[in-house]
Amino acid sequence: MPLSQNSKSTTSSTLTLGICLFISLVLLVLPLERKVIVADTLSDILTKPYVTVYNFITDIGKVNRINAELKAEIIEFKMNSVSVERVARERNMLRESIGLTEQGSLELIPCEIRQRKLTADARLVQLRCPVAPQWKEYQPVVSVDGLFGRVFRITAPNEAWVELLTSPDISIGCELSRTGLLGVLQPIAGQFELSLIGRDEDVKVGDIIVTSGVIESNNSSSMNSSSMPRGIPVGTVVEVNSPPDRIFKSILVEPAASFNKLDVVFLVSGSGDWFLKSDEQGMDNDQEY
Amino acid sequence: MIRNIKAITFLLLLAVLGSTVIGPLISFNNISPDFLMMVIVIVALAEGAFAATIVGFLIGIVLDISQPELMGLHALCCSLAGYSIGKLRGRLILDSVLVAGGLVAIAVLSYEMLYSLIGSGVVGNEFIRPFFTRTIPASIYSGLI
Repeated sequence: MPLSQNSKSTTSSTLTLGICLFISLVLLVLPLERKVIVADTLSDILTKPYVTVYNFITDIGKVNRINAELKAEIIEFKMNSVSVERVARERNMLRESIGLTEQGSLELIPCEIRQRKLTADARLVQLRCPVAPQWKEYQPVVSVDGLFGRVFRITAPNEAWVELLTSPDISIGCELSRTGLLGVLQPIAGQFELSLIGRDEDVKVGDIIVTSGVIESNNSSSMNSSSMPRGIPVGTVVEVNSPPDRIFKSILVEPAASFNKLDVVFLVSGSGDWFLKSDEQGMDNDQEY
Repeated sequence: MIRNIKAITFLLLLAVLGSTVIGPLISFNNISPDFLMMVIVIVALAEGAFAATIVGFLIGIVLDISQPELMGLHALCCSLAGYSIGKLRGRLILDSVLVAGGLVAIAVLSYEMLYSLIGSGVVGNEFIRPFFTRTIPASIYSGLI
């Protein structure tokens, strides 16, 4: 290699070393807070692209897995839906044979929650439906998890105020899906209590509570309840006590629906019963008849 | 030039893979070979002091991110190591495996010594015991690999 090229190369490598050493020494003598900021910035610049790619790849795997699970759930729901339709048809045939009116089917109309109103007397949310439904007072409103509330006051063809299940003055006729025992669900002191169930009745923690389809009224002067379709999930029993000085059990219920999440809810329209999956009902379908 | 940059980038990726995946698998007593220093030595012997200084500086900066209190020290030591080994290019006969292994071992030893010396001065880390229990075994292991 010619001498001039050699010296050029030596100069450039020495200069490079000098610059690298200078930068390193500057970084070394910085205060700790500045060092942390520099480390964070460099970490973002150097590692962010790889982390982004890695997260993207793992997300794809996750999405594929979730997709497969959702497809399996859809197939299961479709099969359950066919089974439910068959049970409803058979039940209507039986009802017709003994002279009872045929029960129709329920329809879920999605509604959007527009506003909330919390007063001493009521917990209300305003619903808005994209299409004007057939509103009825005390018509049930459900979330994806269970009973959310009931229609309180209709204000427009596609808007209404809905009373939440947490409203102080509400009472819902319920039954235990496992045994069919009837009771009344009321909010009391921030919790939900299922009352009017005898001390000696069979109630266990974990029992699922559904609407009974029976009209229940509380102590207020006006009837403020109406018949809801039977079978809408309401909650789960979380505590059962049999106080010696009372004739009824003290049953606390955890509601199925969440009242803090403002999301899409569904207005239940039509008549008929709400069918749960057979393994959730806790008794054979035959026993319904 | 572009081919060289691609080759250096590929080597760096291999080194990162080696340090994060292979190193822990073949470590004993928490001592694993220093794949990053091996890359600096390879670049120094193949490309010379200029490229090795830059590669050493970049590797050092990446190592410094994980230890902000000694930010700059890895960059300083790796740049010096890259420059020094780069200067030996053309002056060593590298036909023998022992020479290459010995060079790697000396490079790791010098780098670790410099780092521990300055580090103990800056943050008061211990120097003597880690030198014998970690630095020397790591340099020998790296040289063997």
